[in-house]
Amino acid sequence: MALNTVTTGNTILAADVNQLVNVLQRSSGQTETGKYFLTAPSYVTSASIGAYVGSLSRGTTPVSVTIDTVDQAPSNMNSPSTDHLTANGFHVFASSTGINPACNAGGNYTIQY
Amino acid sequence: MALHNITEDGMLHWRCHHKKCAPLQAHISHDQVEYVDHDLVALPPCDCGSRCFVKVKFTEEELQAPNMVEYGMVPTEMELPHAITGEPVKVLIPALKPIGKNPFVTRHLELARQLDAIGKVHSPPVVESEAADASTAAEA
Repeated sequence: MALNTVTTGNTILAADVNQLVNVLQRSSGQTETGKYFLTAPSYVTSASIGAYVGSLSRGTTPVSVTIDTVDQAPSNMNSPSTDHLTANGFHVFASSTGINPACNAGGNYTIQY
Repeated sequence: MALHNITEDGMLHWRCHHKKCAPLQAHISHDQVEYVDHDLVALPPCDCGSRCFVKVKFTEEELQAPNMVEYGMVPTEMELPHAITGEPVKVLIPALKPIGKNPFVTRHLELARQLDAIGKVHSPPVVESEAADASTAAEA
């Protein structure tokens, strides 16, 4: 959702400030969306490939995360999974399907609060 | 995204994060309803390939977060002065107050309870060196 811009000379209202607070500290029912991308070589079958995705929101507890692979279907790796979902972000990872110089997967994530 | 509903007989209802996708449902006994971490349960993937992971266990600190409480308008009794006589009059005025837990948390805790009831629990991955140590100890 686009944020409201406060122009010079205007009064800054509570709603103007809270739109930023609600990004940095998501409230109940809100979501945060973004992108992730995994790329790594694999030296052995089932090598673990992962990345930590930090959320913009801090201090409020996420209740779920949804990921897809619309930007890059998994190549030379299995479908990615997640763990360690906390107020700071989550870990997305997958295992490789063989020895390969490039394993890739990428897409969107949605964290629900 | 998060669970929209969980029935007493274990049916789960949720939505993919793509608006064009149809609502999803599965029973907790489904093979792909599985723990992927000690506090995270994966739900079966949508046809589009996206997959939802719901948090089902929370620490005390996590439960103290501002978004863990749901707020609602609650009629609250107050005494206000009568407009003409000035005498105190009891009135009910809606006030924004905590009315319960975050509804997603309530459903996710219920999912954890039902998974425990059917014996689906988190089993941490066995590290190869630990497995070797265990087999050596067993042989001894």
